[in-house]
Amino acid sequence: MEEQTKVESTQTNDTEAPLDKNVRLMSPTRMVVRRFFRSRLSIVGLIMVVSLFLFSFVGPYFVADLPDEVVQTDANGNPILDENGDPIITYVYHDDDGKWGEIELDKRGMTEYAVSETTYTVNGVTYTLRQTTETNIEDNMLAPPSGDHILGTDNQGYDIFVRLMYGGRISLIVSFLAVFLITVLGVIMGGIAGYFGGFIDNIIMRVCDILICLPGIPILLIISTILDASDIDAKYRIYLLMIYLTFISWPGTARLVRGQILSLREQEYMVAAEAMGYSVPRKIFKHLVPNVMPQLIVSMSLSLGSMILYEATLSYLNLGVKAPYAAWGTMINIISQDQDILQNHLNVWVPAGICIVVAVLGFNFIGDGLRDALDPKARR
Amino acid sequence: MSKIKNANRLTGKEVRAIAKQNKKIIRKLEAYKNRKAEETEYLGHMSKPENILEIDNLHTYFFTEQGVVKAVNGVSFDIPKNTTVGVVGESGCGKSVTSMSVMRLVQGPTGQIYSGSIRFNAKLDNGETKVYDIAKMPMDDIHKIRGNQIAMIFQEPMTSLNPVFTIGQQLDEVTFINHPEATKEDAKAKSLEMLDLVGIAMPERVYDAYPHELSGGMRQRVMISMALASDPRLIIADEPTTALDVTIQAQILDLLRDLKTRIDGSIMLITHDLGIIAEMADYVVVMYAGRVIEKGPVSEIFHNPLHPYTIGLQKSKPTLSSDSDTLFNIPGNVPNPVNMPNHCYFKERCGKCIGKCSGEYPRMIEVTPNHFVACHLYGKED
Amino acid sequence: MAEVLNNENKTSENILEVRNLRKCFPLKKTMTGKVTQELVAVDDVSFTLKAGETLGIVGESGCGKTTLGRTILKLHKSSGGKIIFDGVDITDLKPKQMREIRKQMQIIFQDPYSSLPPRSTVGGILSEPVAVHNIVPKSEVKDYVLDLMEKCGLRDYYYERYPHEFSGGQRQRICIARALSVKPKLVICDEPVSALDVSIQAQIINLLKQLQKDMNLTYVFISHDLSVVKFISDKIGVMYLGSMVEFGTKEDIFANPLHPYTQALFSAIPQPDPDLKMNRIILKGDIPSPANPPKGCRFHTRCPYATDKCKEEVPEYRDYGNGHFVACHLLQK
Repeated sequence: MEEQTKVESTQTNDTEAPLDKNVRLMSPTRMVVRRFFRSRLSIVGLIMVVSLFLFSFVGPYFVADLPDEVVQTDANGNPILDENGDPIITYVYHDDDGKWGEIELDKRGMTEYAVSETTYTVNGVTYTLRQTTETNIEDNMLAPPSGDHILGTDNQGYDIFVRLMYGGRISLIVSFLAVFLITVLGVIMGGIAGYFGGFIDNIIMRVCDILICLPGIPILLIISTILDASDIDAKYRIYLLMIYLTFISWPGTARLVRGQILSLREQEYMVAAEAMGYSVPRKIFKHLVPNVMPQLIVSMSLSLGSMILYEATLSYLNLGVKAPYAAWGTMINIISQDQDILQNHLNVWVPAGICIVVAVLGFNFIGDGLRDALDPKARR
Repeated sequence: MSKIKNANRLTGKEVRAIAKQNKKIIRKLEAYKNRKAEETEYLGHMSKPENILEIDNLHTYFFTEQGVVKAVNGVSFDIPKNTTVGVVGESGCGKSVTSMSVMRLVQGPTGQIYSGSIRFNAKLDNGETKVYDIAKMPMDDIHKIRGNQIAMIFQEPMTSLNPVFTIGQQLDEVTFINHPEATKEDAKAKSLEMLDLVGIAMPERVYDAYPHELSGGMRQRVMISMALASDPRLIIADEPTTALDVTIQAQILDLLRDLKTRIDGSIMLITHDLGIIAEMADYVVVMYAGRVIEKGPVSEIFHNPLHPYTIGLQKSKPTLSSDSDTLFNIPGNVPNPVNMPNHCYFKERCGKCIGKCSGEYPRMIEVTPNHFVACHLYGKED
Repeated sequence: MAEVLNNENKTSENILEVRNLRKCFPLKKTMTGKVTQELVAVDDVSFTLKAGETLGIVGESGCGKTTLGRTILKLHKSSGGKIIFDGVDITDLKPKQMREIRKQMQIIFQDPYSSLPPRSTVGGILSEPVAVHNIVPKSEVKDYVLDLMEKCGLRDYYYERYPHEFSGGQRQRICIARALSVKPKLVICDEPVSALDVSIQAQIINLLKQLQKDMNLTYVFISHDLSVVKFISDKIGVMYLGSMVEFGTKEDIFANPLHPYTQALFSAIPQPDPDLKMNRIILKGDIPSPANPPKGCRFHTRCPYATDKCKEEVPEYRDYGNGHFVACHLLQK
């Protein structure tokens, strides 16, 4: 019997082989990539987003030398410790003029410190003492664009061009982080709601309804006030706010995932998975979620744009990133401090606005392109 | 054993070359389709006056990213007046694309009529007849024949009716399009008459019903009545009973047979079911991989099939009367339509291959009067 | 688990026994969850099936044949009756216990397009069940799958391809290979060839028959096409609106169809012979909605021989000799 089958099936194979060989298909990945690049808009979007990334993450290495971290050491090379027992670290910025200036991360142009070093020995231990003198603080405020400061400086003497780069870092990192959290939470909740249905579905969906009803901005204002009062480092504020944003934004993703899973669950391949006796987590995360991925990727790229907008809004309202840290929203916020800047110093706030527009447009173009590329209906 | 050969993919370079070529051709064909043209440009002559439709060397291609799919590749057949021509073949053989080409419903921009002619003997309102070449008509003039001279019945009665309008509204609309001067009462009277014609017991009730209130069989009857409402000269029925149950299918086939005697028109019946063809058709066209491989009168095709594919198709259909234990089967699959070889497309699945089959594609030969076959087995010795 | 397996003795050679199986779907519920209207999809169906046999179930859309198949597999929870598989009463098994039995009973679907997950390769689809159920050691999974693919007439380089790159017939071969990958005893074939072309239909039917011989499989073959069922079945059951109207061996059903519905089904099939003008029984009207079935004999609205008795009383499902069961008043006189 066994042999008979083999004979028969090889026959079938051999006869279909020649015709099969001259048929060559595109691999699924290549098909998606092709569809994506067929649209000019998605290419434009990709260029916009990639150039913003290069600008923010690579740009600083070219325009502004990053400050060197210098650990102060004694003559034996042991680090000098402060009163808490931590080594004393100073940031030394190397200026083009060959002067040493110890300044804050992105405060180029505001302060230039002259550093003088003295070495002395006490009881056989050599210490290096570095003394600094401040120069030129006031002169650089609201400087017009020039060779030194490509886009000029703002009302505190920060170089706007450099600040745009650092601002971009925060804006992009924060929105990626938020979107990642939203997606993880949304997939888990939506997956559970969609798969189990009934009572669990009902509870999760009602929680979603409630969260969607919450007025986001007023609550943000309240939280921000609490944060102000609780004296949290400006560095971490924005992350806390992003966690809150995640908390109120996941229902959108959860609904999307749930809706998709509800329709996928009725597909026969899911019945087949049931008939195979697969476990529930395997069915949800190995069979259902991968099939939601296309829609998820699209919604992720679209919400990246809206997260950047959200971040900018928060910073503009002075709720997000606070000085001395930069974000694009914070940079626009300067106009609320001084009417004169709004009218006469466009170079201070317009570039940040352009960056926001470019980022949001770029992400939306990519999202649209991905939607067309991944649309299963357009597939053969 | 465990080593797996390459999955045989197209390279990026090839994909780009295909896309470039497609773009060029599609632009040219789209421009031709959307041009403005005088009527004289697409008037033609029938080769036989008794024909209502003549498809002559029709090529309809789909320019896909994977390459050119020659869905209809040189199809020719005629539909004489007052006959039923059955087009039979398996999925992907191009039978539906042929009918879509006649209706000019091929989905652009990928799908295009590449060459060939579709001559249709149209009868105008004033009684005179004109021969239009549908393949050459610009899209703006297609309304002259589509819907009124040629009507179509689709496979899926569930989705071919608009769910937000009543059956009556949708039927009346057909009348208003064909006779803009008709009053509401005229239209309703005509619609009820049509519903009655297709054997609907309570036309008034169906007239006011929404599509979802009707069963599949009823909906298909409504679709047929809509097709009949414009007094077409040709009805194209694309798998009209495939979505229906056997007992309902029997009803609809009975209705179509009955209508054929009552209306003055021809039917082009597209199906994959040889049983339906045997019952309904006068003349049969067998298609395989975008080409007509055999055509002839129904009794000839069923009693004296010539092409190995036609023979195999008839043998592999399980029937109630046969007694054998295993079914005959044609080995292999319907070939993928991209990059077709130059020889006979059926060669790989054919059990009767001769040396000549590796040569160029066989021409159509008339074996007995009106019975044509494209197979080297029946060629003249030369 | 062991208790469940042992509490019924495995004396009978029947691999599947279905007793008075019922399946209802709730249509309307009150606020408190009480069902006020229900759709009886499968009503009081009983049959037995020996190992290695094929049962063909024939009926039109809405007759409950698909629901019957899925209820036997416990993909739907039954609303009454018993399912005894291989000597074990599986009617009330918990999902966890059921998972072990699942690999012994498999299903092949009608639509080869929606029954394969679109984002896995053929190799992935076929290896997963083998790995999950530990059919062969991990290191041999790939060889086992390639061997199975060869048996089902699939070429080895398909392993890396995706389902959408195949034609319907090849996809159905993949589905068959998937179902057989866990070495089942019973396979429910839910219209496996209805969506395929005639020449491919014949290939798949022959493949199924060949595999049945090789692996000693038992099939429940569900179809709307009597002529297809004829080729593969040993026993045939005809269903109409949820209940079995006729059941018997293939020879009995084909030589001597007793129920008027079976007779009408036979005559409705178009035959590929233009000269054969059959005296056709054309049933009037549509199939009634299963949500609101007619009283009495369910077929009376369309039956050419219906009497007043048919409109009132439900006919008894009775053996008319040699295991040929029919439910019709006409025969009881």
